[in-house]
Amino acid sequence: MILELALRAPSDLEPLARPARHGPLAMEESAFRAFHDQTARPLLAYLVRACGDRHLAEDIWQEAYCRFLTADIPQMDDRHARSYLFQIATNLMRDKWRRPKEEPLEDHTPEPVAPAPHLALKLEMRQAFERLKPRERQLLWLAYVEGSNHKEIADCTGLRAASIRLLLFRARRKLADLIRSGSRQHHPGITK
Amino acid sequence: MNNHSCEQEQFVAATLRAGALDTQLLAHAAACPVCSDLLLVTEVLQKDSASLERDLHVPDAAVLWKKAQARAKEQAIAKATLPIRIVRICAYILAFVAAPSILIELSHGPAWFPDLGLKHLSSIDANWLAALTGTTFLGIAATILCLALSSWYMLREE
Repeated sequence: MILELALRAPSDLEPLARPARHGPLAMEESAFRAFHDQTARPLLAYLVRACGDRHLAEDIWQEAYCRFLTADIPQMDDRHARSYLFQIATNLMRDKWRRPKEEPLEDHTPEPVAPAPHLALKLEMRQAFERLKPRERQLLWLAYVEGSNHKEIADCTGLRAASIRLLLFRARRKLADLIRSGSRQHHPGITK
Repeated sequence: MNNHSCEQEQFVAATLRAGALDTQLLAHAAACPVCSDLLLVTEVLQKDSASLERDLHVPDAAVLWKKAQARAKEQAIAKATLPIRIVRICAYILAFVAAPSILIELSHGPAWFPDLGLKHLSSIDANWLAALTGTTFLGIAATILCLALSSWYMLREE
């Protein structure tokens, strides 16, 4: 079930410019290095924020790359490959959430005791983001950090493309309200 | 524009990804609740992402490459030995299904059966024993041959 979920390929991946499968792995080592340089940090950042747990995010990150490399996938360009990698990671995350014995994810990364102003702002944003549902975090990150379109977000999250617009609107409104209310608490002079 | 969307929304989002908004779009965003939320959320998330990506330590690609190679090798071995595992499972199932009928058959068998025939071995009919010996030798030879072939098949990559 896990494997099936995590390796489910987008249905419309077209054969494009990326070199063909190299031996047992999905790409040559040099191509993988370049791909890793482009995707490693954005993927880990996505996982850290969507999971809320850095250690779990790192585990999923490694597993996502391993499954990506060992999967029998069609040839695709870098954008499709990146989208496919994010899809594997999202499926792995969903699988973790489905396990009944695990508690809701909390980030145990220590925070500074008395944060500097810029750290306070980061912390404020992070707390607001953590109050969203996992699905909302995924949607917002994919749309506004990764710049994915509705079709790519639907492929990645397993939601219907037609429902993405409304779900994004709701999640965006919720986060905007949380950020504004957080700002008002810390800076009472701000009205909007 | 309605409560859920604004016709400028996609353009504002694309412009934000490319860089900062011009004054016209900023003026629109100030008046439009949808684009105002979009602007606020995108700026906050992008700042957070940039800061987070700077702070994160990611393992080298070589580590992942080696791990994936080891995983691919495990998968290849599992795939290659799949027929062996299937045959073994079939053999277990067959043995389980056949065991009752064999036991029933043998329970009506010769009087020496309860002692497994060991002490009566010398009194068994000579022709039957000769045939059994030939069949047994054939079976042993076939088993050894199969073991040798499967061992070679398994270990040839090593």
